[in-house]
Amino acid sequence: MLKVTKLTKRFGGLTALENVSFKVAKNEILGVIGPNGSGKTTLINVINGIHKPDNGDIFFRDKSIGRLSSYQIAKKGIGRTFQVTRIFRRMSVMENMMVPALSISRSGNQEALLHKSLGILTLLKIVHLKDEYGRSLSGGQHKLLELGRVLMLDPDLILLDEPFAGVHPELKADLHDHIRKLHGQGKTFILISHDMHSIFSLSQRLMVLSSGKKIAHGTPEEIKQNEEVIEAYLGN
Amino acid sequence: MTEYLLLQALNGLIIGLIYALMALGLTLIFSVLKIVNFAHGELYMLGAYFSYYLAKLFGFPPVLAVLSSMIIVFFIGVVIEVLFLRPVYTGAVERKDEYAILITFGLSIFLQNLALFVFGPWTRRSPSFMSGTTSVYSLSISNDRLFVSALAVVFMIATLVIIGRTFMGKGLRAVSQDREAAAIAGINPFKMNLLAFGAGSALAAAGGALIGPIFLIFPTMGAMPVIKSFVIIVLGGMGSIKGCIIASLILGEAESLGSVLFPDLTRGLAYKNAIGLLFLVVVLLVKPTGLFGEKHVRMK
Ligand SMILES: Nc1ncnc2c1ncn2[C@@H]1O[C@H](COP(=O)(O)OP(=O)(O)OP(=O)(O)O)[C@@H](O)[C@H]1O
Ligand SMILES: [Mg+2]
Repeated sequence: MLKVTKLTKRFGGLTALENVSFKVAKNEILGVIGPNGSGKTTLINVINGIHKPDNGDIFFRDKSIGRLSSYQIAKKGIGRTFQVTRIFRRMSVMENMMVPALSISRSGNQEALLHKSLGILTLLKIVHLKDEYGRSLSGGQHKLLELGRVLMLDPDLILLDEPFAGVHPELKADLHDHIRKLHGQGKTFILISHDMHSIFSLSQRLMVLSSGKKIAHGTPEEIKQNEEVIEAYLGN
Repeated sequence: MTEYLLLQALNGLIIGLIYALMALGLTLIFSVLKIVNFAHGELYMLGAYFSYYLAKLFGFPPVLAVLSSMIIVFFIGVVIEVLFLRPVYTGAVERKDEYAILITFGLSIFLQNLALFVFGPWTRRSPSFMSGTTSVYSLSISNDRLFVSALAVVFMIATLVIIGRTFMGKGLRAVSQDREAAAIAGINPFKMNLLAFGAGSALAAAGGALIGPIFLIFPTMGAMPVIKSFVIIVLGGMGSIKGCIIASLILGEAESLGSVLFPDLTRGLAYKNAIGLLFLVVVLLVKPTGLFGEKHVRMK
């Protein structure tokens, strides 16, 4: 579904990603781990067009998306959340959900979109907050709202950047359920997390980044055994 | 004296509404593009001239002339955005704030001189919307002024409804709050720029076209109102729509009443333009973010 080839991204003199290649199959959950500053967020930023790659390319359903803008990539069916949530603070929860409506309104009337957003909010158990302002929600609720907003676009591939960071344990279990359920519906995920328990239990395959380089990939079991990974990351 | 004051208050309200149209346009542009449009006064001026010529030369009924003028200026705004401001968002220029200031400032001077060249230095006055006067108790006020106020309110409400209720409005607000997050949600930020600049320009044009039958039309007519609009958006708290409308009305009233309540009546009028600035200084001393400002907004 997604193919990344020899991706390189530099910020001035700093190489945040170097020659990273990998594939994600349809309906797979790929976990990405690595120490702080290893380039995980940058990888997502390049995939969804916030940054342009300096080298290499990205193919989504066999079409190159490396040069497209974020909104075009979003419309093609790649959604994402942010490590530090970015909801629209001066809009209500419902309005936040309806922002994507402008780009999808052709595929449904207002009623249908309203219905859809209520359905998603109900699924995420935040429908009671629908008239609250974005800024008055808690951190965990921001994460749920951001996921909800992503789902409005019906993406096939969802990139989650640290969805469990700073989230209440109960909510974390809920998030696990949501991811599993969406995965059951056929969605594909790239999941970034420092939460080892979560990422090892959710992911089918793992990729390890260190200083912008891919140092290992494999099943969770294989990664646990990998000497280099243990040294670079798990060891400390 | 009371009658006179009431009349002045009413005039202040009308001026305030015109200011509000203009400042609303400036706010819309500022919120979405994070650019202060120094050519805003010239869009106001163009709005007045187009409306004047459409009515005078082509016999458009006044209201139709105003609307057509807004549409023309909308597209002028779109062209300006594509030609001059797009580079800010494609990363083609490095010092974005400085570039935007210089380019819109240059555009302002260019348009003033172009108007001088094309339309001439003479002052003009648009045909009236509605002749006669209306008397309420002992106050009499020209129908033109009433009509202008009503139209200004209609344009303002239309703008608020579009921004508050429609999908497009949500797109504009989303881009104004977080460009990248809006793009992730599938909103084309370039399209929103175009829309905001076009609509902002059209609002300035509406102000100019409406003022046409009441005040005079001349190439530099936008110079003073644009400064007022800057005062208003800072006073209202950069980017706040509610703040912008309230600040406009306050400024209109403060100027109108301030100049007649001034102790030395012979000089009151001369101080009119200073009153708004004085008020701004006082507000900023007490609340640096303006009346309804949240925090500092800056282009990334
Ligand atoms: N926009 C940017 N401009 C300059 N440098 C950046 C930018 N974004 C990331 N970097 C740098 O690139 C490197 C990789 O950062 P990145 O955020 O991708 O790491 P990460 O793996 O997500 O880390 P964390 O686990 O802390 O989230 C870091 O050294 C970071 O400082
Ligand atoms: Mg990160």
